[in-house]
Amino acid sequence: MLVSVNQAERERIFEYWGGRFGVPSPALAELRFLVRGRNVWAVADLDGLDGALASFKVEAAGLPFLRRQKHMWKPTTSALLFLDAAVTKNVVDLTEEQLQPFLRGEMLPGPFVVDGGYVAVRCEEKMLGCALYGKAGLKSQLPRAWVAVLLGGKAEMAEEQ
Amino acid sequence: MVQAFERYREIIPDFPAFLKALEIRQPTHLRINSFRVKREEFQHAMAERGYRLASVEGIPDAFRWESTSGPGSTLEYFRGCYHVQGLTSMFPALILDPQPGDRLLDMCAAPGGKATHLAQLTQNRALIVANDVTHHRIGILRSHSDRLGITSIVVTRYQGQSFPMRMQFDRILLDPPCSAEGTYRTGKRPPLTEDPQVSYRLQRLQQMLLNRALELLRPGGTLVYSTCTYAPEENEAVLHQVVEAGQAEIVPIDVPFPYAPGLEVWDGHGFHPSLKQAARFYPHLLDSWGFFIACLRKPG
Repeated sequence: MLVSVNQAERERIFEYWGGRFGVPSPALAELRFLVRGRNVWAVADLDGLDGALASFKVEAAGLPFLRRQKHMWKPTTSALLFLDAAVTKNVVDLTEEQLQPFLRGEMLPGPFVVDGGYVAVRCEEKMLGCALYGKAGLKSQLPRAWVAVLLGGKAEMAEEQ
Repeated sequence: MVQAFERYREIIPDFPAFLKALEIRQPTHLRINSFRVKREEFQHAMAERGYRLASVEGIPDAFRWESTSGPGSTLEYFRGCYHVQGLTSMFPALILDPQPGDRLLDMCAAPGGKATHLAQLTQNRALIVANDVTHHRIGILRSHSDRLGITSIVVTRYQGQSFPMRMQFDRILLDPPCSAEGTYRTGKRPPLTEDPQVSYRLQRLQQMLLNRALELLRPGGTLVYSTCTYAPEENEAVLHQVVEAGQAEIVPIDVPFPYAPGLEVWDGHGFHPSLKQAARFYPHLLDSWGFFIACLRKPG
């Protein structure tokens, strides 16, 4: 069951985005955060939301936003795309030459001027999503299914009647 | 000729032109995501990358994809700047005319094109319950919704005909499973209605879905019923019963594209005269999927 986070948890979420990625509080202010297991969703705080959450068995609500790991949060690519220009810290700007190997899942050796851990990745000044930066380099954390569509392997996934 | 379509010779205007249109490949359309990109900025970015797009007069957010590469293989698609969607598939959400603050239900929502369109039209300011029964298809819906940055969709997985009666909705979109004749163009598999029993089997499900949808709709609320099939058994015949019973009335629709009116008679059966206010879209009149759309209002 999806439940709203309490005030303390909400503040930790704000602190995480602000501290790690420089996201100002107003960019998150209109969102409600819901949690189930390790996953945190961000949903628009709308009239009827509480009723829907109480009335129905909800599979998902709004955007998957964060995933709790042992000692840190993992931001989702959909959250980074949603926050886009509000993300100002720990951002790696890939060159065109770096983009293809990054998408193929290869390790980019760096160095990059960001803190170790989960970072945001942009290309041509446009947000792409999440990556993990460590001693070995930078590795994509983009959703594999999305990358497969982008690289042409699952083109039919993009088609809809 | 595909045998399943022969029975429509008398009801489809300019039937030879219809058959000819089926021999032409289906065009690809897309809808830009206004959450993420402005129209002019999008056009400029795509042109710079060498992609060819044509505007669609009447729907500013719609474009026709004219490049040879797949529309999913761009960084803009990955970033959620647009969604690939048939032109006629964009009409149901537009006709439903959702408003911020509404409670909306998309009863058979996967793979999510119409539900995400509703979110876009209401700027993420209307609660949208997007329901579907198929686990795999819900996964696709969620993937699209996440990519497009939708925060107003709540996803449920119920059989639509037994969707819980715990909330009333201001507007409901019902695009039930259908025989999908309208998706048939050259190179595609023959339509399911090669077996004539298919439409009758689907009709029972469609009627159950429509009855439950009307129960979930608040008095005075609006429901849009759409299918991508030409089969009157799955369209006018389904709606006829609820209109005759006074459960709903048909509302005229306004779409700036050519279409034929709903049928008043089929196979010796008369339908409620108001059903001529429904819209039948054919590929020789509008180069997209074949579609049927009706707008209903529940008496207040």
